[in-house]
Amino acid sequence: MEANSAKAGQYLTFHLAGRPYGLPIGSVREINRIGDIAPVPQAPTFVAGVMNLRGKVIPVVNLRAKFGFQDAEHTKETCIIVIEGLEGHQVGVIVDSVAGVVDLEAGMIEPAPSMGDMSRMDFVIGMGKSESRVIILVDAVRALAKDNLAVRFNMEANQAA
Amino acid sequence: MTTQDEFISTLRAEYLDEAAYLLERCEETLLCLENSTDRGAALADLFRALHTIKGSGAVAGFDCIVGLAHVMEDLLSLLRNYPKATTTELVSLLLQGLDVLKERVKACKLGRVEAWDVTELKERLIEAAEHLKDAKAVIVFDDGKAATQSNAEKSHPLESEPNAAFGFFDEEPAEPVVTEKVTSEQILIEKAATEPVVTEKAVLDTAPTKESPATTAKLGAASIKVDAQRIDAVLDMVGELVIVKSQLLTRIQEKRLDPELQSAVALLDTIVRDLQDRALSIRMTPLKPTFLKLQRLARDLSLRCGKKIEFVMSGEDTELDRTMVEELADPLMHMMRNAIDHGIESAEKRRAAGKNEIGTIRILARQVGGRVEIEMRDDGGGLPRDKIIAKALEKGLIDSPDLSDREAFHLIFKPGFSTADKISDVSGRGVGMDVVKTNIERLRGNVEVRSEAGQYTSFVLSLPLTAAISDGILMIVGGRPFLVPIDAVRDLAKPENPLESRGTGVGHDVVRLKGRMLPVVTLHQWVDNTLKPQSNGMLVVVESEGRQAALLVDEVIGQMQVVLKPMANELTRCPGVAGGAIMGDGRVALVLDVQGLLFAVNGAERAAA
Repeated sequence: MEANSAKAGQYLTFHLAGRPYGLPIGSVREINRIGDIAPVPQAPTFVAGVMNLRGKVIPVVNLRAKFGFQDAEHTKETCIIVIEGLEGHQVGVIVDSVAGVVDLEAGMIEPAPSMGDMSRMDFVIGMGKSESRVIILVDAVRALAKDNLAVRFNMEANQAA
Repeated sequence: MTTQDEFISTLRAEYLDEAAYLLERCEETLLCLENSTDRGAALADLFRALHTIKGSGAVAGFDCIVGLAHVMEDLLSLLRNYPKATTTELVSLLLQGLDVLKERVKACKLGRVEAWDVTELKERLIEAAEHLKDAKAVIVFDDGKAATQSNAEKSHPLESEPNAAFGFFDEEPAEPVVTEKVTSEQILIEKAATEPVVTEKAVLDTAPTKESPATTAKLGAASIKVDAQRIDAVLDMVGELVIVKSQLLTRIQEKRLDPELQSAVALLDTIVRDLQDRALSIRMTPLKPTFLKLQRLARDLSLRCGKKIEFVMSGEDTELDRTMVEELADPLMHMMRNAIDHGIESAEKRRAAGKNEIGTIRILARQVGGRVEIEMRDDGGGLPRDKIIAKALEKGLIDSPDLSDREAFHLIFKPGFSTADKISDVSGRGVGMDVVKTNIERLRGNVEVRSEAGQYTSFVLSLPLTAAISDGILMIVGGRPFLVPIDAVRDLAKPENPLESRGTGVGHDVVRLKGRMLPVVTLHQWVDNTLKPQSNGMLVVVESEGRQAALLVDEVIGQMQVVLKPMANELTRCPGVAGGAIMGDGRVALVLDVQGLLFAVNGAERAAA
């Protein structure tokens, strides 16, 4: 497997359960306010359902559930980030709020911290430092690969310095 | 790019398109050649086609193609003057040449112009031409048997056991069964010019088509060539127009506006429906090219297996949505391989069983209601029911051997049934019957299998005319819209008597409706097991595969036409859901796949029992 390291570049930052995350801008197609989502029967818990994206029906993932956080009510800040994955398939992910785009140089990126079950964490590709915050950089496409089931992990212990 | 460069680039692109088209027609002609009564005309057409491919290729600067085309042209030039000299081996050689040319044209279109060595093929073609020139006179035997019997004895084709149940149990891919190549002494013998050709060895016969394909090689005057992408873009927009019209209609009907507006909208509705129908008809394309591919495959396989096969096709002019036809090619070819490899028995076994030595594979297509049915039927040994059940038990796919014929035969579609890592050289990928079924279901079609031991095996594919537009009944379940395709709906009713419960779970209730007992599917539970149905709900009676069920919903709104959007994604794939449809208010309504739904529900019920 290739190294899971984040590259220098632009990242879209968003918040989930109070924590800041970053997505490589290349995979982001658009950002929408949260709208109507049709639940799909028998779907995994982290799949919120499907939505209408200008005439296309795309799946929507509840990222809180995916990352193992508790569900929360949607607020007016809640957004759907539409990412484009493998083979051009688009998926929407529900996040608590979207912050903005940060430019991370190589020196500002550190490799992902090692955690117990590495195989499940392969979508965390690094830690970015920007304005004294630590942003958890994720590869959303990998996070939504079917092998990665919802996982509970605790980042606090590893967010030292 | 200078205009000169642009000109050349366009010229080359157009040449490649023309060459591809001509090569397809050539293959069609060649395949029908063996049985054609007017071989001279067909061969002349082939010669002219190769001549054009060569000539235009030289102008467009494709020397690679020119070289091979030239050699084939030479051979055809001889052959057209002496049609009697056409042997099966020559036809195979020419087909091979066409294949190679087709690959090269495709590669050139993609810009992959690596070095290409066809010296060996060219040499064989030149040799064949030399052979013809020398022989001049074809060795004609009065008694056709004498010439070929020795050859038939020479080759001892190995055969795979027909009882191996279509190779489903094979742990390894089947080896090509004939180890000896067909030699050039095997010549088609003609007793009289008008009699159909008779041969003693495995040759593919086609049922004579109504018109000689050679004469229909001309382009119809009324057709034009249009870039497929442009058509698709226009058709997509028609699809979007249908949705917007639907949304507009809903809004207008909600508010009683002035009559002029109403009538204008009604007219708009009519026009858009008409446009929709015409757009759909543009997407339709006949199955004939696909069937011809199957014919070609059957021919190649029959030679390789040393089995005599007759390939009969009918209904090849039946049309289907273009994208569906493309998706059907692989599954059909896989089924044909199975039929020839494992379905049709060896000549000896057939003789012993009192069957005609020549095995028949019949493929037919027809339109039935709003669907197209394609049947592939072989008169081989049938599916070995007991072996299939035994294998399924062994693999833990079923618990008890207590199955109806249909259930037993359908086991072959279960994933995991065949452990063979088959690399099909038809598609180059590992293929199994479960993949075939999935592919067909992706087109919203289904497959039925019927078989009788020692007699026949038949696969019937049933497909909607187009995967795009659906007529459905809109229903509300737990506040959310759902659609059920109208051709699955049998009845709508209010439950007169309270539902009799047989336990908890989705499919356990029953209801008495018009004197019959029907299982009730409480859709609420299927969608979300915390949802409860309203007390004054409706029952929608649906039918699939001969069984009926009543779906319990909160409300039935009415009929509507929607464009079905696939939800082809790992995350949202759900048996029972065919796709999504966009409503007038922009919300997504799930469109039910009744067959999948009933199957899933029954599965859950059996599991709970």
